[in-house]
Amino acid sequence: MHQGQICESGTRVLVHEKVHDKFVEKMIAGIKRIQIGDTMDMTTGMGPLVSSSQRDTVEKYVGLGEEQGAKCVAGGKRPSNMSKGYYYEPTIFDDVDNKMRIAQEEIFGPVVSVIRYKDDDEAVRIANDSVYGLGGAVWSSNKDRAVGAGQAHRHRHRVGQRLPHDQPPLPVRRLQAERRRARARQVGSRRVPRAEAHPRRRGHAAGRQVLPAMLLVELGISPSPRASLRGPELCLPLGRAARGDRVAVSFDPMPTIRITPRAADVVARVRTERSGTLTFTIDGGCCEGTGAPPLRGRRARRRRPRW
Amino acid sequence: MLVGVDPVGEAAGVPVYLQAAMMQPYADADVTIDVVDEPMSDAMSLETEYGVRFVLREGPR
Repeated sequence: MHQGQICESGTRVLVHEKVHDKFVEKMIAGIKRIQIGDTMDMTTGMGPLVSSSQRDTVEKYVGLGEEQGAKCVAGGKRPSNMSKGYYYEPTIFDDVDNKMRIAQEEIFGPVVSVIRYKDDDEAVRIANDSVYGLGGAVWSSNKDRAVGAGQAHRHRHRVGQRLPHDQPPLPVRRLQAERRRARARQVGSRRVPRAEAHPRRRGHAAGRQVLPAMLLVELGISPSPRASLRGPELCLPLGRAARGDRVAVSFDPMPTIRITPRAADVVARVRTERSGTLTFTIDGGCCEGTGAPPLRGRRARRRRPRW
Repeated sequence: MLVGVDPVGEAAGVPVYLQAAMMQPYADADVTIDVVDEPMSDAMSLETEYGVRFVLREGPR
């Protein structure tokens, strides 16, 4: 429901050559069943991208994939029947070489690259041949082999071994630990000099209480009643809920929410130019690239969220 | 993302949700959604296309 716009989204699918053709055939059949539309509609399987510029980025990478010799076997274009909204069809590239840009760079969209491998060693080598290291999963009918491949992955703290028909993936590690490890890679929380830092981060460094407030529409990560932990669960800061759980949150007392006139004007402008239901989401930052600000002093210790 | 079922409030006619992890620090908070100029924002929030960024400030303005 996030259309690949989550840092953890899988972008490369490594498939053994023996099952490659059958696997790709099933992938294509699978995405054809995905209904594109408003994510507040319970029948929708995939919503729009977050902005026109992000859709432009996705289109640029699809073009690059074709230029570099990958074969687009599904999607690769905007839905012809949707004139409004930044929709893009789920896209599968086959015959991808791991050196291609679509395999090496973060597209942040509904594009996946299928890469063949001959044996487990080659699969591990390909999986490790990336500057990113956010996560992965090993699927196999052989538990020992799957665990072995997962442990051989350089970023095995993010690799869950998945076995068909039975066990759920291994428990997700706590976000804090993930971010700490991710700093060694070009992922997650980036550290930049203060002078080059995002104004929001500079504000945090100065100790101001400024948090991101996201205005979302039709995004899978928006907190609609249908929200579950199916996809973005790896972003969970709590790490307590089981896969598929829905967690009700109660407030007593309730926070008081206000909005400035200028912010209200921006909301009105967005509303006139967007379709779908708008929601504000207040969070500590995660996949939108913010990160929680450091809280200071006794008040901070009392109010610091645990994650 | 872990979220609640019901919004915690409303701002400009838009329901406001609070991530579960923020429940404890913000249960008794008095917060204001404001907007600041930020032409280079790369976040996923919708307002970034207009060169601004929503922020949350504690306490009445």
